[in-house]
Amino acid sequence: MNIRKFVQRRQEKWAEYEGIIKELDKSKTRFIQKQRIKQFSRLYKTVSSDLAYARTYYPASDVEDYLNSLVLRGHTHFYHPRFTAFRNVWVYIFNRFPAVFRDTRKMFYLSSVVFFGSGILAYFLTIMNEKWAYMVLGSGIIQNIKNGEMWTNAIGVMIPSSIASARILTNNIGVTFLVFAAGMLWGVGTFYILMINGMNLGTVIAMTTMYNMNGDLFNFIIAHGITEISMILVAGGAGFLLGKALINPGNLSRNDALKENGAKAATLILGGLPFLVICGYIEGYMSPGTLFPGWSKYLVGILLGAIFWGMLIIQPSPTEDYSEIKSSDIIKK
Amino acid sequence: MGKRYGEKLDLATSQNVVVELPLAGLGTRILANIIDTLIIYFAMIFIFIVANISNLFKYVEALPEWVIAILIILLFILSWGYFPLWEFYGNGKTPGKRALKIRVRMDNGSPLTFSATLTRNLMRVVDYLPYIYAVGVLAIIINKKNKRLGDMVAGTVVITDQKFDLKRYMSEESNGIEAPTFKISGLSGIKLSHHTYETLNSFFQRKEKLPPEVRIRIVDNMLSALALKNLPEGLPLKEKEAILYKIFTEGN
Repeated sequence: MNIRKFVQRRQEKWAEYEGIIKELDKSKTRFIQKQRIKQFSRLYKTVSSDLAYARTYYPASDVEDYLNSLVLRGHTHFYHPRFTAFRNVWVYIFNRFPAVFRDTRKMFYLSSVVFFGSGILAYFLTIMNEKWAYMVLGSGIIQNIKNGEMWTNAIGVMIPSSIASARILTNNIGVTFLVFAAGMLWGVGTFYILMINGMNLGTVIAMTTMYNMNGDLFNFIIAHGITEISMILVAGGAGFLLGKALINPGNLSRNDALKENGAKAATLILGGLPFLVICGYIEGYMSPGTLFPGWSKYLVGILLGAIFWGMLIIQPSPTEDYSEIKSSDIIKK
Repeated sequence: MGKRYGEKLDLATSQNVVVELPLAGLGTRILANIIDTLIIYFAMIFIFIVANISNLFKYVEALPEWVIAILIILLFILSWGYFPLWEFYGNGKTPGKRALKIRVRMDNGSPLTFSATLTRNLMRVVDYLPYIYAVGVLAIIINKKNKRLGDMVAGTVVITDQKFDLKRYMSEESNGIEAPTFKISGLSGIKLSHHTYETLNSFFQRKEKLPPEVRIRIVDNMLSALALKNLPEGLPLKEKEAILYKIFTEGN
């Protein structure tokens, strides 16, 4: 058939099909009427076979490209009904995130070992030789510790809490993102960032121990620290997931392993974000200074940590699997 | 003409028809990125000016603390969230991508999920290394599907939006060509490959702009290529064009 006749003869069907797709593109709901589904599926098959015909008889023509795009647009509607990511934030945070965490907990163990290992190492290095502290910490902080002052009090005095919170939480989320993304460097980047942060913490604890300021330090850290450090370690696990996919993809190709582990890692990061935001506010408003008594900081810190870890560890009853989209969900209505 | 020399990614459907995802090229993607980066920079500069407005202008009072806090969070959303939010809510397009007519899709051609767009954009940190996306550019050159590292991890591809012109197959106007004055049999039986069809099509669209000698040469070439029998010698150009047009509209 002459390409012109082909277009003229079939054009009406294509336009009808395109109309439905445009309707679907626009509609926010994931449901369409029953009759429309039938019409859509019939037209989808028609256009598919037209594409096959065009590919044989008019290869590399505008008509082929046009039909290709039509089928592609329909294909995505046909097989992948659109679900928004935040449809069910609650389920995502309290079911998906813990499930993925349990599935990949070995990577979390690894990042904990790196973080606490380098922390303990730095602790003993500092105890043995105080000069070590100068390599890790700023000289201002060291001077503060020697004078018996909490440097973190400055956060509350110099900078208003609202601004400090905003700075801290954006910084923490940024660090979490970095720890994760750096995993793409065969895990070495993640290793490095975790190590630096662990050493920082170890050195500070050693210094405050030597100058009898441990109480002050924990008063500052405890309210936000448990959950915040946990999240950094979870993000470290996410980073190592990427590293593992690159170094040892197992039975999969590196590409597929990356995709699979990438999706898991993304869940770990996204699921933990709300906790980082909460930690940021606590660190800005509650942690610095003496406005809140020490016991309340311990209470908040331990409570938040308990919620975080309880959620991650305790397995929900396996009655419903939220990770799968049930076909009955889609057909309803 | 239809042929495009871009790269394509094949996608099998259950109809046993292969759908092609037309992959976006490196140059387009770099340009789109430059546009987005400029937008981010200008927005950041704007936020900095607002935040420091009392320092910059003598008689303006300092902003309240909570405004500064919001500005800090805005700055954060701008630097980490610009790409994911635009791509997720803009159907795979940031303003830069919109300008260059490219978009991000999942590997199977479906719209982006939020975790995929977040992943591919967080990976910019690594793709950017050591400077200006050296790793990402290298990855795109090496990878068969034009993926930078972020695309590999998230399972996404960047594709181009194609433009088609179906109208030229529909037009019925004859551009002032009259029917040939004598009958030649068997014109409608002539097989036209679509390449020949496209050639004829573009000739009839442009023929008024062509110099006469070129016009004559093309018409002669086309007629001899079609190997028409029993064509009388020494026909005027107008007649020859009329014959070609008849083949063009009625050929098989």
